[in-house]
Amino acid sequence: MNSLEILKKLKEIAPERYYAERSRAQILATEQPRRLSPWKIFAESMEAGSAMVLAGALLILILGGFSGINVLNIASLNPTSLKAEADAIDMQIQLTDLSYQNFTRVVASKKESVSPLSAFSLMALEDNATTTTSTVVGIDDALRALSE
Amino acid sequence: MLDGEEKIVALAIGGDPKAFGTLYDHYQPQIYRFLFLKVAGREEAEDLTHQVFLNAWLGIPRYKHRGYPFSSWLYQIARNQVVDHYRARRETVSLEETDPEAFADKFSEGDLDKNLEVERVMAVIRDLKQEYQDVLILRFVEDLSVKEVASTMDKSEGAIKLLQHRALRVLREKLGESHLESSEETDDIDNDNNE
Repeated sequence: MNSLEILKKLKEIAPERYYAERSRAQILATEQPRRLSPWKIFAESMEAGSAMVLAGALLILILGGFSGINVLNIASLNPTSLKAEADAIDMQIQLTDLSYQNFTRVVASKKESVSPLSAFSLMALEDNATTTTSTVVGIDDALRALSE
Repeated sequence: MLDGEEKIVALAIGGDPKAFGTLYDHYQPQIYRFLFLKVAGREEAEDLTHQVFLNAWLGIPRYKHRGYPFSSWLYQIARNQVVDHYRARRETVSLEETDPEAFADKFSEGDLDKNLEVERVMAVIRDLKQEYQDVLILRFVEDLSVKEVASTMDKSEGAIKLLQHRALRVLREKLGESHLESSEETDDIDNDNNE
């Protein structure tokens, strides 16, 4: 038998049947990669784009909702009103100081006009005046009055 | 070539597993044979054949019919697979590594001499250059025409004839056959194919 005859004889080589069936089943069970045509690429990018737009819109809605709630709750944090309020408080403190100074001036003048013998009555007057001052010039009261 | 191959291939390109199954059934034995004759053993041939058809299945959406049989494309994948296989192994296949049992059951015990001769030819084929192996297997084992082999190996028909002549000469030198017989038989085969 010469080499060419032997080469022809090699055609009898065949795979095992079991192997062939198993390999065939495995290959056909493998999912083919998706083919991307220009139209598919366009459609997919549109899909992704619209998804992003929707997500963005949703985010804006959520954040907008939260900020709306905050606006309702902390409307008093308006800088103008805050400034006005702060000015008013300062003024009130000054007024308080003023009335305190006035009061001390009144007390001093009264001290001068009253004789040393009536010290007891003067002490009583001071006590009375102190009580009056604290009720008139309290900052909390002033703020409460302002807010009303 | 398979009957109605173009239609079946078109269906397979569209992802029809049944159509690809038909192609698998028709071409798997010859791809396996091609790989078996080029690598050391049955298991390697089986693994490579599986990989070839898996790659074909995954790559078939990109397949373009250029007038050649579908087998040309499969052989191209198989050839690349063998190159990758040897590149990964970086080993020389020795004669001892071959799997004689894979072919032994093809012959009865009375054909012991014939069997040994076949094994010797197989071992010599595996010792040849890749191009010589390809042209010998495709031309003389698979009976492909020069044109089909040319498309498979991406060479001109003239180059394939030259390769075939050289491959046969080297094969016969290694087997100790005479050159005269070689050239006469090659001419006969060329004439057969042209007819």
